[in-house]
Amino acid sequence: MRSLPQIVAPYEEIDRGFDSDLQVALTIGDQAGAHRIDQKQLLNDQAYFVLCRGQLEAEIDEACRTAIVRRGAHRNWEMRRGFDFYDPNDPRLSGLPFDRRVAIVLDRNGGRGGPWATVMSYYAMRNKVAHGNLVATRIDVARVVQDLFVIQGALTR
Amino acid sequence: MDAQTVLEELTEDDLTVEHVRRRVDDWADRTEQFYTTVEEWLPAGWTARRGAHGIMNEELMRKVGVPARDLPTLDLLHDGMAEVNLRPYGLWIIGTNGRIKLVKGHDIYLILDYAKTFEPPNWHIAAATERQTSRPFDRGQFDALLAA
Repeated sequence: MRSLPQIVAPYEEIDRGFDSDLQVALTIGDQAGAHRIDQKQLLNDQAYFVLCRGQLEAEIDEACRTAIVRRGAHRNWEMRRGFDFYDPNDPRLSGLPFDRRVAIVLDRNGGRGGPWATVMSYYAMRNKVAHGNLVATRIDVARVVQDLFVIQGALTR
Repeated sequence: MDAQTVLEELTEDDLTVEHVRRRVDDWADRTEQFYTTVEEWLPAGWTARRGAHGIMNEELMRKVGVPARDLPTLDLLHDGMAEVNLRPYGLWIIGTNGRIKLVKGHDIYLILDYAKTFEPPNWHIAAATERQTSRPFDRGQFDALLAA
């Protein structure tokens, strides 16, 4: 997540430029030009959203790896059991799907709007965008980044 | 239970026409209330007038068949000259519960509602040049903006 500020800075610079261009287009009544700029902003939002969310996914993987190492090394079998199925040194964490990696570090029963549910909603949105189903909805990237830091704080290693 | 955020609305499959229609009505009400508040805060020498309507026809509305809606803009005039324009920018924006765009000269500000869906608005303002530092939108912020 340390790279998030470096990712957000150019996003904001680019989007500000679009905002200014859009204002000019609206002022002179260039509706076609305004529409083109709207479309660029939508694409730019989604590209940077995928980049930012990727930072969270890397953080979740790292937290999951740490949890597996800690729990797998525990003296008490009650704490250790099951965790030796997973190899923390495997880049894919022994094939653990994303939702299960998240469930190791966040409570799946945290309720609607809780960190687990929010991570999974962002995952669903990322899948839409990354698999070609672009959305016609703006993304407040600055606000999403704040959200990602809140989730980072909730990760339990 | 209603989706509490735009993110939930966009990633859940059970959105109904009724829900989207209520959201559009709610957005129209919130922008109207916001304009009323701003008008009440105007200092001496300033007046307000409803400007040209903009058309609200967002993706979720088209998806479930809710008709487009006209929403008014608001011009703020100082000694009779239009200096500030407010325009509803969009309701469904991931991370916020709607955005109004405020333009003063060459400066652009984002008025953002951070409330959950169907909750009382929690308006914040951020300069387009400093989006990470939004502040609650109160009378002090508004006075400072007009004086700048």
